[in-house]
Amino acid sequence: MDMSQYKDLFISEVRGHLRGMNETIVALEAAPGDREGINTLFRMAHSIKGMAASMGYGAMTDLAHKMEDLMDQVRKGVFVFDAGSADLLLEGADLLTEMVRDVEAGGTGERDIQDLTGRLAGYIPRSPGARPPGETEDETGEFSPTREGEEGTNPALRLDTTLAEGADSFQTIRVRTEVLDTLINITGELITNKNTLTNISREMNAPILEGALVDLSRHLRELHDEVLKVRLMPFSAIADRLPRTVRDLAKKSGKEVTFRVTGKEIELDRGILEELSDPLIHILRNAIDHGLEHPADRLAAGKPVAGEISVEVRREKGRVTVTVADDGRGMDPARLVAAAVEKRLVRREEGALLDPRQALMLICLPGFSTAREVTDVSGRGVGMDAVRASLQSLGGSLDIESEPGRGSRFILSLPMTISIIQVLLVACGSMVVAFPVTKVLRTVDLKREAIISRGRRKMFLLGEEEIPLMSLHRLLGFRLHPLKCPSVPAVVVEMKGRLVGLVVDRFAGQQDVFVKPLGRPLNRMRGLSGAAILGDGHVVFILDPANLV
Amino acid sequence: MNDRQAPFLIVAAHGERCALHLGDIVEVMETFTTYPIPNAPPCFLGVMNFHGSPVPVLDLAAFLHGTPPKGSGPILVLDHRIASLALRVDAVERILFDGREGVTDLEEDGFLGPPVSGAGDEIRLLLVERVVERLDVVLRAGTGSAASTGGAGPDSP
Repeated sequence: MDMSQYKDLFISEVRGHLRGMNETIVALEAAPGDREGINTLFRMAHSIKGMAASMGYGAMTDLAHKMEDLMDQVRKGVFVFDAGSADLLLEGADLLTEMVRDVEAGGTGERDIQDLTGRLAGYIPRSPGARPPGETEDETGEFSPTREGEEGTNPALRLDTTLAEGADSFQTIRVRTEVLDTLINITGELITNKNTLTNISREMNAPILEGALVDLSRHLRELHDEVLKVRLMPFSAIADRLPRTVRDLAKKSGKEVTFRVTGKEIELDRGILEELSDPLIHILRNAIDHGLEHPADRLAAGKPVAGEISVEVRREKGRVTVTVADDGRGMDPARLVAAAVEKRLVRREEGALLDPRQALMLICLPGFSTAREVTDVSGRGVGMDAVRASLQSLGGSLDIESEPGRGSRFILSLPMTISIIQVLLVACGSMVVAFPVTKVLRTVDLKREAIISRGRRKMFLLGEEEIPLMSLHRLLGFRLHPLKCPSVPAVVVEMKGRLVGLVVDRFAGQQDVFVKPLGRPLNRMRGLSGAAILGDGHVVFILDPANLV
Repeated sequence: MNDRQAPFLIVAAHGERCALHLGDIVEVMETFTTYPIPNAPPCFLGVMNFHGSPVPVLDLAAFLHGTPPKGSGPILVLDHRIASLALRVDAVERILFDGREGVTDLEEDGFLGPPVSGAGDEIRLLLVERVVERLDVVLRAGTGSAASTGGAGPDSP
């Protein structure tokens, strides 16, 4: 029987099991008596074995079989799940992942498994037979393995069975991600076309056309909302592998870590999730490598030996915040300022003016690092400046809170979607440029007498805070023109952790636009996060205010 | 060793003729409208709306020789797999069907490669990848200036 037609389904399902396996192994290591976890792990190994057997992948079948056997021993109470079994099973999961990758690339998935299967089969824990307190042996178990000769489970047949089991199965289908990308692109182009028609309608002064456009706008908004929903994926899509990552990093650093993730069910656009993974892992690496103290230091400080790291995801008014917190040594703002001055990243007098929050943000300056040594865990690659730049390119932002001796919190604020956004259009010299509305804290129309001079700098009062004014003309590379109008329009944004009023010529309205990514070479330019085509065909650049200077 | 062959497109820029692989060009346009690019160097005429995509237009002579950019002349839109970029030239002369690309000396700097054989006169190949690499560096460094964008808003030749 030709099984190649089931290969995609096989790969997808095995990968799903492997993701779950990694997470469950790490969880079981922390709670070895968790009966449900033990059964789940056994079941996953069994499923992979069955699927691989039905597809004819012998090495994969044998390896999964040995992993299943080990878990069966744990399940039957022969020994307790311990760090040694976790290491072996994780090694097995890694090898299976490699085999699946090979199958996906057209290979047979064959790898040398003899050494690992030998170690799995001969595994003897340090304290065999020891059972977690309160546990009793369960002869029947939650899950009954199939009898000899029944173990080949054809994924396609299983799909048919699922379909037959209930009508609910017809309500969900698998869709390739490229199709979802195409859907959002078409929706974006339709929004651009609608803006074109709106322009024409205004010029023609045609009430019938305007009425039709109102309906079209409503339907497009509904379509946009539905397409966005389809693209949303739960945070768990990237979070499920974090426990494994943290475990591996902690082992390398010689530290003990208790790790938890909450809010995994909260959904974000898959484009954002893809880009979020690297910054998140970088922050976790820093937390383990630089944030958490070594066990002896923690004991000396009166803290539990195991450090705590958490990732908490929450939805707040159309945005999602991801908070990475640790209970490590924290950061001292004064020390950060001193280090930045020493490295000539800020002048001494500037450093003295920074409040604690601004001082903490100094770690995001390119070239800033207070780590005394470069470690294997943190590496010497991208720093927090790259993390912040990645978040800003997604329309997000980074905030840092820290208390010496008590730990740090990195708060990542992200939009739920990036493809179609609402922008504020402003005229500036000969250009019209766009600010994402999410980046605009407010707009002001300043009377001339409201502008305060501080030496060469111009400021204005926003509440009780003095905010510096900067010319957007100058930032965009145009000559300054003296303003002759009685008031000065400005857009208040955050730049490098400070509020700034960007002076523009005039506000030119708000609208939904479809963000077009800038290709090479324009994508090298700082301060531009994309472009959009307006209804009249104008190309406008979408500014990333935080990177304009 | 380069082994790409004809057809080539022979173009002129600032009195100099050079060749491009025809397969690297997706469209030749005679008219275009550009919009300013913030902080771009003077050799950029602006960005144009190319079938719904923003594509910057580079004045080839201004880039190669530092001459003042011109707002008119045909533009060659490159295949987006090479770069999202269009090149303004003074003229498109002809298509060369039977030429052959010479060997590029990788040690040698410059944006023009070896002469294309079969082109009659000495016509050198424009090394598009090097042009784009240079633009990468220039734009990353942010070396644009106020006069760079052609200045006066939407600009139609």
